[in-house]
Order: sequence, then structure tokens, then C-alpha cells
Amino acid sequence: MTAERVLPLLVAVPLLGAALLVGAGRWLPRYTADVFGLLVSGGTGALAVVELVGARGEPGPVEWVAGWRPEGGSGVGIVLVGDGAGLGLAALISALVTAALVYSRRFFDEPPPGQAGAFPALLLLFQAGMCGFVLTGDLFNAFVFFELMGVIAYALTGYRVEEARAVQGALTFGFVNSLGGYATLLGIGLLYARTGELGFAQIGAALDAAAGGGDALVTTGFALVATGLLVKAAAVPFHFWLPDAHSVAPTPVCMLLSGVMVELGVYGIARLYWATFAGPGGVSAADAHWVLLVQGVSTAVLGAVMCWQQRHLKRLLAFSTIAHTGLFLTALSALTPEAATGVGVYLVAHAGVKAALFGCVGVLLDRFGSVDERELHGRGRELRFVGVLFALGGLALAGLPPFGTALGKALCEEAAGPGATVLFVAVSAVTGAAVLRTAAGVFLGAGQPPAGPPHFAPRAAVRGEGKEQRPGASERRGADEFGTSDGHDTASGPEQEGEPETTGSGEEPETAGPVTRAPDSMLVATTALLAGGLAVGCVPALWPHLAHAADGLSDHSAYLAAVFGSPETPPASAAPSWRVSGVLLDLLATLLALVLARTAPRITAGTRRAAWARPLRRLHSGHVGDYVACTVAGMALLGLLLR
Amino acid sequence: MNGRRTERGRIRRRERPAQPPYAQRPLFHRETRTVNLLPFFCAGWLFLVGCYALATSRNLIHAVGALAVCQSSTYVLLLAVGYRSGGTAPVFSDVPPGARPVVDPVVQALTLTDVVVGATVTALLLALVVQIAKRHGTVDPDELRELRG
Repeated sequence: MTAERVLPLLVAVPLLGAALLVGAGRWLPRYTADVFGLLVSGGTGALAVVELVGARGEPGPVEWVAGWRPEGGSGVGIVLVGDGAGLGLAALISALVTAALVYSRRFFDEPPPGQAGAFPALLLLFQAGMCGFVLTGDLFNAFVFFELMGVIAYALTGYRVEEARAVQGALTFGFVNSLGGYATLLGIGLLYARTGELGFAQIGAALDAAAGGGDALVTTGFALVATGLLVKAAAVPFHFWLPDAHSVAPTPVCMLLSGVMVELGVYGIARLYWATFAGPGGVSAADAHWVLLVQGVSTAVLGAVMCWQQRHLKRLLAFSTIAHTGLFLTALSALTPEAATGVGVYLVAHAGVKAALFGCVGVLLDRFGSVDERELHGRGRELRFVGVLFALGGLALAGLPPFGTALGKALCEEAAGPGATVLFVAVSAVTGAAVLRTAAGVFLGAGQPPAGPPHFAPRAAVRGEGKEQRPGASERRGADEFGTSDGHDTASGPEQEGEPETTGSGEEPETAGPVTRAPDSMLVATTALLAGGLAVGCVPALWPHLAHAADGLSDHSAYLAAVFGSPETPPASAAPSWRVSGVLLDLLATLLALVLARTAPRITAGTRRAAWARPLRRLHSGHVGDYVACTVAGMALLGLLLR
Repeated sequence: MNGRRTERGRIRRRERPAQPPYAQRPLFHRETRTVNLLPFFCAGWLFLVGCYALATSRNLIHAVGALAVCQSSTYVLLLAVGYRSGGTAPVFSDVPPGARPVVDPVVQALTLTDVVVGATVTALLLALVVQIAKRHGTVDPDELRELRG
């Protein structure tokens, strides 16, 4: 079997595995279903790695599915392109799905009766959708895979349908993402109207062949297709679905959403721009740079600010994902192979670290039935190992060498220039500090115990009861009433009823009973993920692969040549390595994070933080109509930026 | 699209060299002078009116419908892109390929796929709405205020 023929298997094997699990799940014991799911996802990952190693230094295999090659310059076949970026991401996806399956081994103690295979099957379908999205060289096909992974992600987010919040988060997720998907399809329609082609490379070649630069139709097509991808990447103001979905999704699903699905939006933007629009007939580099920079900087700043404000741990991590996606977009705006390499390193390491952090939060949720920073204060003392993992994850987010996140950050800073460097240091320090603050509070009991002042305790109890009644009519308050609720500047400001806040207390534990000690499967998966994040920075053998993938991704003509059957090897840029300046900046960010985390209890115990960030917090209203309005406003903004 | 072609049109088409059906791409070319813009405006209007309905919806079932309206704009756009004046359905069971103008079969395949995708999304969202109605006791998005900040 040739390397080309293996490409479709990367999509087909998980699909087939999922079908078998759903079909035979009724009769399978849970253990068998789990092991089968692991074998399928792990096997797919192994295939991707074999392909990747086999294509070392070459542009990689290209497969026209079922032999529908273009004849005489036109055709309707679908092409799968196994270049470094595509195969590398497929391997990353498979690794994360495998880790999520291991993690969930002891996670859901009670699968629905007779449905032991349902959860692994959904994860495998998710894997198939994501692998298809990264491997396809066809724009419409990418849309279909985009929607496939979207639909599976909505279902996984609302997996615990018995829970009121879960279904609400899943619904918001579904509305916003589907709307983005339809915008993408409109854009694809316009591009097809202009060029008569559907492939990334074919559209790019047709645009380049047309006389003159890109006109309004091409630009509109780009803006519309990019809208869907930016929604997936959770760029401001398309990001509102992400914190809601992460707050309610089961922890293994959060790992996949934050670890890789959101980042696929960034990959999609990079692929779309370089493969299709980077030529003379596409979108000018200045425009693309401007759009990515504006989106990236605003996303990074908003993500960091909101991350600091959270007390719901999953939500905090979700906003840190938004902040990091903003950093990826900012770095990408340099539009150079070096920037792509930096983003690649950062993205892979971030996937491991962020998934590990979610893994730690999952252990807390199962142990204490809460993911509220204040409720958990000091209660994690007995979970030393989890505490160490969580703190290490926080340091890695801040950029502690030799974690891969630190290397990626240093490379991005180098590629994106001094202005962006300030942003990178500040944003990674704030997100890292938010995690470290939580780690110190929960696992060490550091700082002022939030429930300590006597007047806090009864309030917390009242809030707990209020939550139970919420489905009824007791709490029907419009957003406009927030500001008028009595005195948010009083000492107990953050605890006010009208405060727009998701606390994270009273969550449904995902296991049957409280876990006496963290199950080994959860710890193994979490440790492995964190070790993966570390390995990206410590194993120099990985770096040339990442540089090669970035070179292939960021070369317009090499991609076209590979698809049309005359592969050329793009000029190889130097493999990334540690530099002194980068290490110093990383250490600075880590130090800043530690200082911030140290002063944090004093800041959060006060009331001021709620006052100045209040408008931002109120913007995240949880109302699907507001989010849709923001998405449409974002589309208009995108159009203005591209003119 | 339901084509009754004139005899003249048929003869003129026959004089053209026979092309494989996929090569008959109805391009939105610059030389096509009389592109009817109405379907394109219609698609844009459908998308925007769907967004408006989504943003102002007071009922989640209505909102799912509004999303379907947004999606129908993609059907209109795709079919408009593939339309050729005087073209018939791209079915070649009774005539040799190239004997008469046909509309673009590719966009019809895309639209069909799109319909399937839309059905999946709508079904899943409606299922979630049912669960919301059960758990929250309401389908008014204004009353779902648990996730915020």
C-alpha cells in the first residue's frame, strides 16, 4: 500500500470504528468498547506518524480519491493532501483523542444502559471529522468536515443532557458555529462562481491566472470563508460560544475542544490564505496582515482580561485558550515561514499543556463536585500530585523554559517583532498567573480564604439555593438591570446576585460517587499530556519536522505544485532552536506571572476588579441572540478591514 | 431550469464541439454581461434576515427556524451560481452529452450535501431545545441566564 493510499484511511478508520461501536455497542461490555476505541484512535495516530516520517523532507503524499484526477486542467475529484502540517495535525488530533479516551476510562462510571460504545464512538467521529478537515485539499470538503466536527462537538458538549447548563452551552455553541459554517459556504459559493473550482489549489491557480489583483468578489469570498474559520478559532468577536461550551462540556471533551479543535480554526485560516489567496490574484499580504493583527491582538487582550476575572476553573481555562489563540493569530500576521514555525511549536505544546490542565480540573470536579475557585479554596491539599501538575501547567502557560510553550512563544516573538513581544509576554504572564493563583489557592490554601469573612458564608449558601430555583420564575432579570442592582461597590460586591458570573459551584460530578483518590487512568493521561508539552521544547528531533511542516504550509507555489502533480521541495528554513533573548523573555514572563499570582489574593478579595471589567463581563450575557448579533458585527468588521 | 428550449437554441448548441459535462462550467465570468443579480441579492437578504430573526428571537424553536433561513440563503446562492439561461436539468439518460445546455451539476451536488448537513444540524439543535424545555421549563432565550460573565 503506497503512502498516498493510506491518506483516506486516516479518515475512514475512525469513521468505521465509530460505526462498529455504535452498531455493536449494545452487546459490548464497557471494557471492550473502551479498548476498541483506544486501538482505533491510537492506530490512526500511528498511521499518521508513519506517513509523516515516510515523507521526511518531501512535500508529502497527495491522493485523488477514487482516482478522479483532473483531466485537461479541470475535474471534479476530491484531493487529500498529506503535507507536513496536515499529517502533523492529524497525529496531534489522534494523540489527544487517545489521551481523552484513556482519561474517560474511569470518568463516566455509568454509561447509559446498553450504550457503552456511545462516548468512544462520538470521540472517534470527532477524530474523523478533524482529521478530514486537516487533510482535505478541497474547500467544500473542508466545509463538510467542518460541519461534521461541529455537530459532533455540539453533541459531546451537551453529552450530559440531564443537566440544565450543559444543554444551554451546547445550544449556544451550535447556533454560533453553524452560522459561521453557513457564512463559509456562502464564501465558497462566491469563489466557485468566479473560478469554477473548489479545491484550495485549483481556486488559487484560477485566481492567479486571472488578470489583475483580487477584486471585491474575491475579497468578499475570502471574508466569508474566513468568518467560519474565525468562529471556530474563537477570535473576538466570534468567541462567545467558547467559554459557554467549555463551562459545561465533560472534561475529556474540553481537552479536545481547547487542545486542538479551536486551533484548527487558526490552521484553516493559514491554509486558506497561503494555499488559495497568497498569489497575485488573491488578497494582498498587507490586508491579510492587518486583519490577522487586529483580530489577534483584540482576542489576546480580551482573553487575558476575562481569564483573570474568572472563578469557574473550566471557564478560566477556556478564556486562556482564547488568549492563546489570539497570540497564534498575532504571530501568524507576520505571514512568514518563521512565524508559521513558531505558531506550530506553540500550538502543539499548548495542546498538551492545556489538555493536562483540564485533566487536573476534571480530578477536582470528581473529588469535590465543584470547579469554583472560592469553594475549593484549600481543599486540594490532599491531592499533592494533581497540584504539582496543575502548577506546572500554569508555569508552562506563562512560558517557563524548557516547556514547548516557551520555545514557541520565543519563536513567535522573534518572528512578529518587538511590539508583539510586549503583548506575548503580558498575555502569557496574565493567563499563567490566573492558573497559578488558582493553584496556590486550591492546593496550598494560600492567600485570604474567600469564605473566611463570616458574611461570605451564608451568602454562598443562599446562592446555592437560588440556583436550584433558577429554572423557575425567581430570576428573570434582563441584562439592563445588572447595573441597577443594589450597590456593586459594597464590600461584598462580587457576590451580588446581579453580577454576571458563572461560579462553577454545584456542578454535577461526572463519576458516580466522589472519587476517593484520583483514578490512575486520569493521572496517567494528564501526566502524559503535560510531558508531551514538555517534550516539544526538549526533544530537538521534533523541531526539523515542525519547521518542515511550516515551510510547506506557508508556500503558495509549492502547495499548488504538489497538488497538480509536480512536487517541488520548498526552500527549507532553519530548524528552530533556543536563543538567549527568547529564554530571558520567557523567564521574565514566568516571573511576572509568579508576582501577579502572589499579589492576586489581595486583588480578587477587593471589589475594584468587578467594577472596571464589568462592561466586558456583561457582554458575555449567555444570550444566543446577543452572540449572533456580535458575530454579524464581526463579519461587518472583517469586511471593513479588508475593504 | 425546467427547460423548454426553442428549436433555434437547440441547433445552435449542437454546432458546438461536444464537451464532457463537467467541463461545461457556467462561470460568473466578466464576459457574461447579463448576470442576473437578483438571486444574489436574494441570498444576501435571506442570510441577513435570518441573522436578524436569530438575534431577536424570543423562542428557541423559532431560532432554529431562523438558522434554517440563514442556511437557505446558501441554497439560493449555489443554485444561482450554477444556473445557465435556457439550461435544463443535468440528466443525460436520453440525450448525448453536449447536445443541449444544462445547468451546473456540481452546485446541485453541493446543495444536496448542504441540505443533508442542514438536516443534521437542525435535528440536533431541536433535540437540544427539547432538553432545554425539560430542564429549564422555558424555551425563551431571555430566561436562560446561567452562563454569563
